[in-house]
Amino acid sequence: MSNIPQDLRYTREHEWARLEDDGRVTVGVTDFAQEQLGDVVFLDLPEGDEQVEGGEPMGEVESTKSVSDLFSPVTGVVVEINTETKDNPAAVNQDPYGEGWLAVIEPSDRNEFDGLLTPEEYEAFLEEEAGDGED
Amino acid sequence: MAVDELLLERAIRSAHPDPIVRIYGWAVPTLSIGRHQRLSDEVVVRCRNRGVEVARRPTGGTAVLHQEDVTYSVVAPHSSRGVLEAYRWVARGLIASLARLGLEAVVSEHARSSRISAACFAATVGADLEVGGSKVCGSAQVRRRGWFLQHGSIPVSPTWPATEELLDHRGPSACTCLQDLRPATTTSEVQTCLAKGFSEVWGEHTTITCTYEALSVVPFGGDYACLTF
Repeated sequence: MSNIPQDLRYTREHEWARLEDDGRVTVGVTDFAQEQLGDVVFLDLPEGDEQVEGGEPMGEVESTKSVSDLFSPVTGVVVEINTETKDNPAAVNQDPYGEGWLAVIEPSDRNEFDGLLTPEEYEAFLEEEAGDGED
Repeated sequence: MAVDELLLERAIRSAHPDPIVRIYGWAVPTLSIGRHQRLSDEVVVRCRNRGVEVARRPTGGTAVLHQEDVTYSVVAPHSSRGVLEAYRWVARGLIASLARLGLEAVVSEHARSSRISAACFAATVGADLEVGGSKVCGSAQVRRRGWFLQHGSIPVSPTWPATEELLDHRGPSACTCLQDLRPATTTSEVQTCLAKGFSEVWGEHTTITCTYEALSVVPFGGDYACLTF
């Protein structure tokens, strides 16, 4: 069973988001995502000061088996990227909610964060997807 | 492989609901590399000196030498399938195809690779296809906006020695080729079986195109080689 921390919000594209005390939003990919991807070997992250749109791709995550879009949970400006994880992508697999964080975004609309999936909603979404996957 | 990506983008734009399968060969030996894979200058020079083109795939994974292989691609909506589920779904068509050659293939799932090499067939990772414990097909995916493109290489005659030499890779291979398992297998046989196998498993709504004549690869500078027919 994938780990779904209770203090985060989530997207249907399997990103997590944490609202920091200063109003900024830290983002990464979920435990479910890193399990599905396998060994992460490369991260294409947005640049600092780059404008990103909520629900739109802002980068890519490449694993040994797949290249997948990395979606921004919120609209805003990227203020920081995790250069250590960029140099050591395995951190995404080893600690997706800790050292494997990917970017920090200054959101343009603080209310957008509240529209993300709660832990319960994300768990229900994962169960629904598991049941829907065709053979 | 640029054509494969074009098909993916067109499928996304048109919300095409059914799988599209391409089956093709290579007129010029070509080393395809993964989306963000880097080759050393030494490898690039070695390829040039040996008349091997280099093409970057839109998918992940590592280097594959295409010379005596059959390449397939599948574009389809992922329909809530995760990465491994999508591999297993495509594998149904591949397994049915190889069964027509009298080969029993199985999906071999590996939670994590013990080593990551620059060469795709150096190790079995993720959900690869094996016959008798050896990898017979290396595949890679890219996933965008609800769709995925997966393409893969099925070596018909041995390519590992040439791959080793190009990449200066030393070590055992996890792969085999179809002629090691079934002598005198031809690429046209494999292409025909792939077309029938995918059609058998996915039915009449599947679009299948086969280019029995190998495609020419023309590098146009930058990241992608341009395929011409």
